[in-house]
Parts: sequence; structure tokens; C-alpha cells
Amino acid sequence: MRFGKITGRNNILADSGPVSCSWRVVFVVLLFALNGAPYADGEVSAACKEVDYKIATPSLIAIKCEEKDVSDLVGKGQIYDPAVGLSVPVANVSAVPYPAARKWLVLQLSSVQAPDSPYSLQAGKKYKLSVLLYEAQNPPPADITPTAFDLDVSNTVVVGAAFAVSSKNEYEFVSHIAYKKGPHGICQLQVEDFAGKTTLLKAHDCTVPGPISDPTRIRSATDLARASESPEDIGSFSLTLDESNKAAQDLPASVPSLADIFDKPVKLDSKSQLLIEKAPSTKDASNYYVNFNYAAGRGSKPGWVLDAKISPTVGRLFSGYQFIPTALADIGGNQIPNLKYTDTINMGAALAHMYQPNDILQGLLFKPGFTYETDREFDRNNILATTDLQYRFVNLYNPRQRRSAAKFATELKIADAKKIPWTRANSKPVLFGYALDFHTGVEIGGALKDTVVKASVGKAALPLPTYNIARVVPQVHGLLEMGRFSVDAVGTPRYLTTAENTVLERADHSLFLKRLHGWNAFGVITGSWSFDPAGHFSLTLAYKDGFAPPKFSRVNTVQSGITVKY
Amino acid sequence: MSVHDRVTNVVQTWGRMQVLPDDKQELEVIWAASGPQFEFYPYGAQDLTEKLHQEFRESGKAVLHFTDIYASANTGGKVKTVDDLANAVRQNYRPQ
Repeated sequence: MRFGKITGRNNILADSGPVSCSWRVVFVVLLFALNGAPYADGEVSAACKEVDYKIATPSLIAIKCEEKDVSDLVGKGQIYDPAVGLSVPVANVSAVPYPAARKWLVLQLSSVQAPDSPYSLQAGKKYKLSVLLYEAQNPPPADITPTAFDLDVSNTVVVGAAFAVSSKNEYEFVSHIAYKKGPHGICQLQVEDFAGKTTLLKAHDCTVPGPISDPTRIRSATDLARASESPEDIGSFSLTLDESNKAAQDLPASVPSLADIFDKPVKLDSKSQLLIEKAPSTKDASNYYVNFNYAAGRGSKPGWVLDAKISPTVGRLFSGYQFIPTALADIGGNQIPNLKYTDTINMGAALAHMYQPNDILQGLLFKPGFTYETDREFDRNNILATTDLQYRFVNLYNPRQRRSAAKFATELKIADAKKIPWTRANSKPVLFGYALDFHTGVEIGGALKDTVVKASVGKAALPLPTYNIARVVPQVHGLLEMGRFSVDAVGTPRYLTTAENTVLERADHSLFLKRLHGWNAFGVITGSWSFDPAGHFSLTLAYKDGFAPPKFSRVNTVQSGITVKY
Repeated sequence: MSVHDRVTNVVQTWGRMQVLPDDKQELEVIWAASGPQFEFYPYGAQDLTEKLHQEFRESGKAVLHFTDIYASANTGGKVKTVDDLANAVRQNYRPQ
């Protein structure tokens, strides 16, 4: 359905002059509003391209336009009954904006013979409508073209799964005709199988958010907006099934006591199905990273290194903070030359919130938490309170994904202007991407108790006394992407403000106690080549160098393996 | 004001847009084009959810969870466009 559009009115006004313009206005208004115009069906550029409509009362219709804002449009037109003929209108139509809903218009129907009396649509009929729309501030232009659209007053209801955010099995029953009444709270949904056998399903949270209880009292757009602030709520009924509909072949048939403004029980669309809903994605968003390296050498047992991170976001936001349990491991077994690991296991949790301080520092991620720090042998028992601040400066976060989406947004504007259909599939992703962020953090705590550290081979053992921990942890993280290839670098120059104890193993598997203080840096550079466009699976080559807690043993190694990221 | 209009106002502020968003625009694309420079998911989605909760604080039910928002990093989310978002909020809005 399309409405008429004002085209080139400024030129007309300029050419004709004010007097001539006024005559044209009077002529058009008289022609279309008083005498009625024959039904016109033509394709014009629309002032309101209709995307939805709601029959709020038998004489009030709300129309949703595709345009962002039609709140300055008014109009006049006629409605025709095709059964009677398209040359004589059955009613006049006046259009006004829907109060407080900028994409909607309200069409009010009045009798042709008695303009002050409302005209009522009849249930079950189809109508054609023709309306001239123009800006309320300006008089209607001379070359305005009326456009036709169809109106179906049969109350077929489409059932669809709602955007359930806290529960599954939520359904919305959407009709073009307003509901007069419906069940509230607990209700039942009648479903029917292919043999015609009906069953009642129990439901709760049943609600008609925008009921038109007494259509005779809704006489104007203002009355309508008072009855339903959101026009989308008109003809909407929702419920939540107590249990999911196990028989997928059952079709929804009716909702007892749900009736429309014509006092007719609602008939559900026979094509509607109670689709078994996909679990809502309140299921915790995930962030998993697994890098597995495996190698074997002559004269030594096969060795492996597992570098993994699990940090899903769990639950809902609490005052803007998200709870994130974290498990990190860089561990291995049967070390062979050139296959080393930091022997670190971290388990803990943090809260995270991204602040937006200003236009230069666009993001500041504040992440306080705690960590249990140990190694694969579990002979370290450090408990730490941690805080990490992550700084996101302007122009420093532009990975390929974001740059590609921004490029698509620019292309879409051009395509829209030229009326070319354009989707993300049409847009070629950019080749390069980059990101650079900085962190500052602290780790404060201590080793819980004295432990005994054993050598990896032989019977050597050495006690590891408790100690306090107070570390300052600055970090720089950079990412460079070129197509499916990327280089990711993380530098962490950790500063130990108090001396920490560690037991290290010599090449002959003897042990010695070492006290560490001051800077102990650790860096990782990882090159990746993704197998898939989404980058979930990749071949990686990682260079690790430095000292990482809790052992602070020297690592200087190159590892290659397969990485899975989700 | 209608729920739809309130939601588009929130999206305009959230995405730092100069004009109102179109119903068909994807939230992730809006963020990439004009939003602050950090990840759309989860942080941008969390920010949007917070702003919506602030706008619809009179609702007895949460109008949205950030995990419902579709992103390349959260393909399980169902809310992809401005229209999806307006519908989701409307369906869950329970004024008290």
C-alpha cells in the first residue's frame, strides 16, 4: 500500500504565484474531499509507504509507515467498497498523525452523506483506500497524487514466538484488528491436531496490552493514543505456555474469551504453528579459547602444551556490572626441547563494566576480581585480589569486523539513496584491521601456606615458604589483521613490589629456592591463519618469552598448534 | 510516547547518531559506524541494555538482556535490527 506524495510542489508554487496556488488548493480539496474522486491505483513515490495497519475501531485505522517520521503529515481521501464499485466512495477519510508515535498515522472514517457521522467498516469485508497526504504546515500542493491500498477486515491472527528475554514459550498473537477483551493472567490455548482433535494447553502471563474495550468511546486519534500509547500493541495478545508444546504438529486453534472489536471470537491463522522455540540466548554468552600443541622427538616421550582460556559472561547485569568466571591454563606434560609452557593455572572471577569517560578515552573497562593462582602440580596456592583497567582510545579499535560493518553502513546509505537493494552479503569485507589497547592492574594477596615442591624427575623436594604478593601489572595489547592472517601481541611487564618465593628446577632436576623482586616481564606474539571466515579455527604460531607467575621460570619458546576460539 | 519511539531515541543516543535510526538498520552496523571504539559485543550490547533499562525503569519485567542481542560474536541472539529491538522491548514492557 502506498499513499500519495507531494512532488515538485515548490516549483509549482513558484511558477503559479500565491493567487493561482490558492485556487489550485481549493480545487483539489473540493475535488477530493467533498465530491469524492474515482479510485486511483498508481505507483508514485510515497509520503507514507505502509508496512502495517491496525483497525482500532470500525471507524479508526492506524497505519504504520516505513518512513522514520510522518508526524507532520495530514491528509484526506476516500474509502471504497469493491463489492459496490470503485467509482463511488463509501466514506471519507481524514488522516492525522498518531500522537506520540512518529511512524504512524490515524485515518478517521466519516459518512459521505453526513460528514460529522462516523462510518463503520464491516467485519469480513475488504476495502480499498485512497488518501492524499501533505505536510500540515503547508497547503496541499496541486500535483498531489492519490494512491490506493487494500484493507482486509477479516480477523485472521498470526501467531509468532515473542522475543522472550526471561522465559521460553512466549508467543504473540498479532491481528490487524484490535482486541476488545482477552484473558488476563492465567489462560488456555486450544490447539488442534491433524485429525481435528483439540487439546487445551495451560498458559500464564496472558495479556492484551492495548485493548479497545469500548470502541464507541474512541472517537479521535487522541482517544486512541490514550487507549494504547504504542499502536503496535493494538491487536496484540501474548501468553507464555506453562510447558513447551511437545507436539510440533499441533496447530493453535483459538484462545477462549479472546474477542475482537466486532465481538467475534478470534480465529487463528491456520498456517501458524507453535514453533518450538530455540533456547533464548540468555544462555550465557561464551568466550572460549583452546590452543593445543603436541610434539614428539627422538629419545623422548611425546610432549604436549595446552594454552586455554574459559571466561563466559554469566547471568544478568548488576548495576551495569557483568559477572565473569575465568579459568586460564598454560600447562603441559613431558617437556621436550622447544616445547615449553609457563605452567600456570588461574581460576577466579571478576566483575566488568565498560565506562565511557570522554571522546578521547572512549572506553574504560573496570574489572575487579579475585584469582587462585597455581600450577599443574598444584604446589602453589596463591590467592590474589585483582583489578584491571583497560583503556580504549579513539581510533585504536578498528578490527576487520568493525571496519567491514562501518564500510557496509556507508555503502548502504548510497544504495538507499539510489534505491539499490544492499545487504551485508553484498559488501566485501575490508582487508586490514587493527586494535591497540592498554591496561594497568594490580594483584595483591599472598601464598596461603608453606608447600613442598617436588622435582619433575627424581625425588628432590624443597619447601616453599609463604610470602606476600603485591604486583603492579601494566599491559599493552596489539592486533594486526590482514585477511585471514593476524598477529596478536601482548606485553606484560609485571613489577613485584614485595619479594616472592619460587622453587626452580635445574637441568639436572635439582631444586633451588629463589626470591624474586622488581620487573619480571612476559610477552607473547601469536601469528594466526584462520581456516574459516569467522575465525573460529586457526593454525597458530606463538612466540613466548619471559617470566610468568606463579613459578616465574624462564620461558623462551616457539609453539605451533591449532586454536579454537568461540 | 510509544515504546517504539522511546527505543529509537535510546538507540540514537547509544549509537551517537546524528539522525534517528531506520527500523531496518542492524545494531552492530550502527555501532561500527558511529559508536564508541570498543567491542559491540558484549560491551556495546551491555551499554544499550543499560540505557534501555534506564528508559523503561517503570517496567516490572526486564525489557531486554544483552545476550538477546545478535552479534557476530553472539550468533544465538535474536535481536538484530532496530525493529527487532523495539518489538522485543514492547513485548516485555510491563509498566507498573
